[in-house]
Amino acid sequence: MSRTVRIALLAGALTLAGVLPALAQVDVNLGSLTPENVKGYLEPLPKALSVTLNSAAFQTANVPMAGLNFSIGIHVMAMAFKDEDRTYSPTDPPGFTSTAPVAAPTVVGDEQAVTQPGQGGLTQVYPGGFDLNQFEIAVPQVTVGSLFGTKLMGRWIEVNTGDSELGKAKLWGVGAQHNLSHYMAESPVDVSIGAMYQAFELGDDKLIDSKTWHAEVTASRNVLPWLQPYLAAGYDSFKMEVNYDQDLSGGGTQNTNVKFDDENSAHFTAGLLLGFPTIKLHAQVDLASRIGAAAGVRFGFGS
Amino acid sequence: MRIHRLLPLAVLALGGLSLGSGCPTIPKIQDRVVELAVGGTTTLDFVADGSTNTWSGNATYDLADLDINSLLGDSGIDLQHVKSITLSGVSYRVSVPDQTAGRTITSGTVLASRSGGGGPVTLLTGFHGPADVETPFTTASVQPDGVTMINQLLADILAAAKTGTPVANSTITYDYNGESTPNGVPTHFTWQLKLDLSIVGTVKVKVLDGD
Repeated sequence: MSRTVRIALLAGALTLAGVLPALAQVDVNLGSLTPENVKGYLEPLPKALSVTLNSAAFQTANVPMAGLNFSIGIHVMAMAFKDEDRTYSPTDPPGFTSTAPVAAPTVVGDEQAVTQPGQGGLTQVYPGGFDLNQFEIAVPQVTVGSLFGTKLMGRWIEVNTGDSELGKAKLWGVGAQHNLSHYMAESPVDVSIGAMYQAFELGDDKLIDSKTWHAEVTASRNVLPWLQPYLAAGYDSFKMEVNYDQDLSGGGTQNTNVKFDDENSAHFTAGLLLGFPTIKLHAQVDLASRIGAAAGVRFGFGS
Repeated sequence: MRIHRLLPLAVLALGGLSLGSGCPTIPKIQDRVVELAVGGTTTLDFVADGSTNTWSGNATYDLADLDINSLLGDSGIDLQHVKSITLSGVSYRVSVPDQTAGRTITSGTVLASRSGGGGPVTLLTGFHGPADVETPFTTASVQPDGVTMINQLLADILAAAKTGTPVANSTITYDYNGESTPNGVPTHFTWQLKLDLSIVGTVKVKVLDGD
């Protein structure tokens, strides 16, 4: 394996590992929650994963009609949470009737648990969050082209620490981008259309199991030989399920599946590509279900 | 202006717009102390007897037998970092049915007395349902005085567990009674009382986050 490939995979693994240490505690917190409240507790995650996974797939609209093009690199995608992502309104679990509403912290909310008063002096406790302002993820991406103005891309990363406290993460994706400029007479910018499908699992036994696809139209043009701004307008669709061990009344646990509402959103991108013969750097901002940003570096030849 | 000259301006405008509305920053590893919540239960068995149209009985349980470490399981919460144990729910069920077909109980009440002179206070009211079949757990109507007594005992048990000392006055005697039909046939069944507990404790974790 070449040094470049090893560095890309290691960087991706390390960044993915950054989200893992708290995973065991997320699993613990879910156990005490009903499926309805698991949805509330993890509500910020679909938006976070949707905007990050669906960013940085395409950094140029310049897809050659033919010829060998290859690059491998690492893309880091991040998004910022809003204040409204930090709390949710829990629903009463069976056997408990609340006497006052509370705003319980989501997984990205305050670290303090919230206690809700109930009938007869009972209390229900909702666990604290991890006080996160943002979410980030990094993945390696390989791009190969071009044939009939089309290139293909793939993403893959898998981290398994072998430690039950840390768990594992797995991401894979495939995509394609096709040159539209050659259908247009004298287009002032390069234009392409692209799509990517990805699957992302986090934790043991598919604790978080998500699938997403993204499609976009990209426009770009070299304003200097090595500087290429790009714009994109697209659409994200994201599905997520959670499989957790729910604490049973009377003891023991039961594996419970929770399906989240689909997260569908328009996705706009603006970015800059610095393109040198064998190395390309890019940075972009994304406006989708949340505001995101991404940056990356790739090595190779061709566009 | 030609359209391709607008491209860099549009990129800069969209970038500036995003940066002004809360964009992610360079992340770093940070410490967090998170309050986790773990559920636990303890189940108590009681025998109810009666000769006319009533049923009653009493039993004493030592809640000091509660194994907090076992309830914490593999949650990662250290006993010293448990902040509270409180009662989050109470339910009951018939576990060994009465042999008389059609046996039904109503108006059940449970009083609780803590050793050392606490109580008696009313813990539950309004027990009802069939007693001639095994039943699932039913949510009980709890009373604040009884809940306060159990919560105080749980707090004492937690404090004692942290210091490794015995719990003073750790037993609770439950006195229960109610009405029973059909009349004139002796009543005999076994029922269970389940106490659902919420345990809150802190763990220190590392997260990747921006400022």
